[in-house]
Amino acid sequence: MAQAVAEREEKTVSARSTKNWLRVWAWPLVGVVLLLLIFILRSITGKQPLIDLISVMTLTLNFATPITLGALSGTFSERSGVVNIGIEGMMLTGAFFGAMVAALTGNIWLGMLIAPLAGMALAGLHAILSIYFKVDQIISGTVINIFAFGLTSYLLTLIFSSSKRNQDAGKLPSLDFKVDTVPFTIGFVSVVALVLVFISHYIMFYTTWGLRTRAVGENPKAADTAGVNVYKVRYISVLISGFLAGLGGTYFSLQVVGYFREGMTVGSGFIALAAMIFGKWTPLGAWGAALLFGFCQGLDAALQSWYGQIEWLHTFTQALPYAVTIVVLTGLIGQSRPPAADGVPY
Amino acid sequence: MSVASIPAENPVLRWLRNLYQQLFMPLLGIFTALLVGAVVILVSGFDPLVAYGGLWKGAFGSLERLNGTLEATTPYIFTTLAVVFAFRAGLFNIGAEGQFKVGAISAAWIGTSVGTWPFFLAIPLTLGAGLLGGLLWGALPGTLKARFGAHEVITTIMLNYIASFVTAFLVGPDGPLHGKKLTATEPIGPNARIPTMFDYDGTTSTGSTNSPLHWGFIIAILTAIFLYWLLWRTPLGFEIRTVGLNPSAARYAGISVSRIMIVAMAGGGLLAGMAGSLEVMGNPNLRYQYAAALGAGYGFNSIAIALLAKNNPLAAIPAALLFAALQSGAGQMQFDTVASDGRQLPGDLISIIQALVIIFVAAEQVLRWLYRMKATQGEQVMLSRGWGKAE
Repeated sequence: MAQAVAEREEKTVSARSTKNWLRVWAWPLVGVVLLLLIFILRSITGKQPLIDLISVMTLTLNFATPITLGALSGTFSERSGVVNIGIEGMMLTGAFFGAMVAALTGNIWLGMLIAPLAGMALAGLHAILSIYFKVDQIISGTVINIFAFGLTSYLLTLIFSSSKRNQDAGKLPSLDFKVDTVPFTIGFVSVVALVLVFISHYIMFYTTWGLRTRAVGENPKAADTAGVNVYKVRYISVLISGFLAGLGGTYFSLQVVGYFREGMTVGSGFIALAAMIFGKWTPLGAWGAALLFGFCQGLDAALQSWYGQIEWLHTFTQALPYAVTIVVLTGLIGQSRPPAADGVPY
Repeated sequence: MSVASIPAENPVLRWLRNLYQQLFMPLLGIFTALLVGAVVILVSGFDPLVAYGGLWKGAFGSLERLNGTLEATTPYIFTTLAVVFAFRAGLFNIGAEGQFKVGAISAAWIGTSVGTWPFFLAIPLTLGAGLLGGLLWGALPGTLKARFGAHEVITTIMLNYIASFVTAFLVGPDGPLHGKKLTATEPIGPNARIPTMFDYDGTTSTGSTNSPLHWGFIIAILTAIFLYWLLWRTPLGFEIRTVGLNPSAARYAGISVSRIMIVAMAGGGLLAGMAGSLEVMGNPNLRYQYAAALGAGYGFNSIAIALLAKNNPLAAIPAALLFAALQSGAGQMQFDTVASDGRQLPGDLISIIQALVIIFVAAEQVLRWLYRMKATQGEQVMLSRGWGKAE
């Protein structure tokens, strides 16, 4: 069996060198083809194919926002060798503290500022548990998820005396534009996320800090020998991870509805983990994967507004990204290899 | 018996000393978690003694409450065993929720068709369908892992979502299993139901004459004991544990690692499927049907309980009981604990206590640091080995 694996890997390596252009452009190509298919579909069955296309694209971008930020969060942490399955909890905490501060002070920007810091605080707990105490990182992440759910629900009831929602915190501004009198909107957080994708890519692959982070994630001992402070890199990477996850939480509370609801992140942190793996632990790849998840959610919403509630189609588009992720993990569409020291305490 | 130099000790005393050594740290951890929880309650402006009194009363205060708590424990024991069994082979089964759902809906589907057959046919067929459903839903990620190296953490999370969407469709308005009303199947036939254990003779406050506690609870305890025997007293168990501790060594010793991976995940799926089918077949509060929301939350709670039980099948029983008791008592705690200004203590406090319990019990280092105890060389729980392929 080991021989078969080696053979397969050899094959992929040779395929890599010859079909490099395909590897880079395959996913954008898939995206263009999907959009073209929708355009054709709406040209036949609808009246305004172009507007429908723009509508799917903006929905995709908005739905992809928390997954993008969560996947970036995971990428930073895991590239330094710390597995972070607590992204969900950090998002939830960010969502709550952002909404709470905004509602209590009446200043939504203060909430926007507090949310990433709240995510960072929880990430600090994860860092201390998994780096200082060398607690298993999965245990630490599980604890953070349960703790975040309990803490946010507890404080929500305690402070706002209503178990379902708190007072209106107001919403973050959004980019509104009209095409042919049809209004579209792209949220502020979505724009921030988009910018952060490229900043993260630059940091990870074009700066000394990024190189150190990747070195620590691949081989901490070698990095240590070369004079890199492994603990410092890991602490800061996990804190960045918490910052991004907390920011992702603001999409749910401050951007979409303007208040906090118990457990409102509904598993986005876990989808973000899948997007991170799907994207092969790179910021651009994670963004691409998040767009695919967002596309399926956006398509689901669009199909419902075009053709009404068709149950089987709804279920199919809902389940599609998860099934695609499983297929990707089987290696049929290229291997996804984690950082070598991911999850190993140092 | 090679250590003949040690003087013979009373076996009962030795057993007690072992028990004490094993239980001391977990009990200290639970105590510490409750202590920290009390501080949280105090800071929030409530009386911790009243709160914990309410928690106890809500979970164990009356025969009715005790029955309810034990019923709630039953599925937790199974789903925890589902995590423990796979973990012993080094696999992290986050998919208990999906396996629970697939098992439950399979049992509900067959149970509605064969429910009027004689019980000695109806019960095995219904339970068998549930077990098969869970087994297949667990075997899938096991096979993907063994064959392609697809990491089970992500595949099981994905399969949880798929199970949740597909089962919701099946019982939804257009679904083939949709009952007469709501998003649920028809109730299963009377002969496919598992009887409850006690009868209150109409004394309960809710008017129900039966306690929700059904024979599934006894099956759960027997299953835990059986798994302990299987893992530590049979060749298969030895193979599973060897693969879990060191896959390379296992392969070198001639154990088929991929076969064990599939067996471990399929077994985990079967156990979670059993939790789902027994809930449908036995719990009168669920009206003997599969409803769309059934099974939500079992996946991650059972991981927490498995961490608490340190992946020991026997310890899964008290650990599941602790979690079920915390959840059953939360309502009463909230109701009883009122501050001077009329506010109630939010019941979500128990999630914070659960998180603290896991930190202090599963991560002993923190507890030892807290009490300035020396570190000992114990069995470390090691789950995160990265997301990559098994070696």
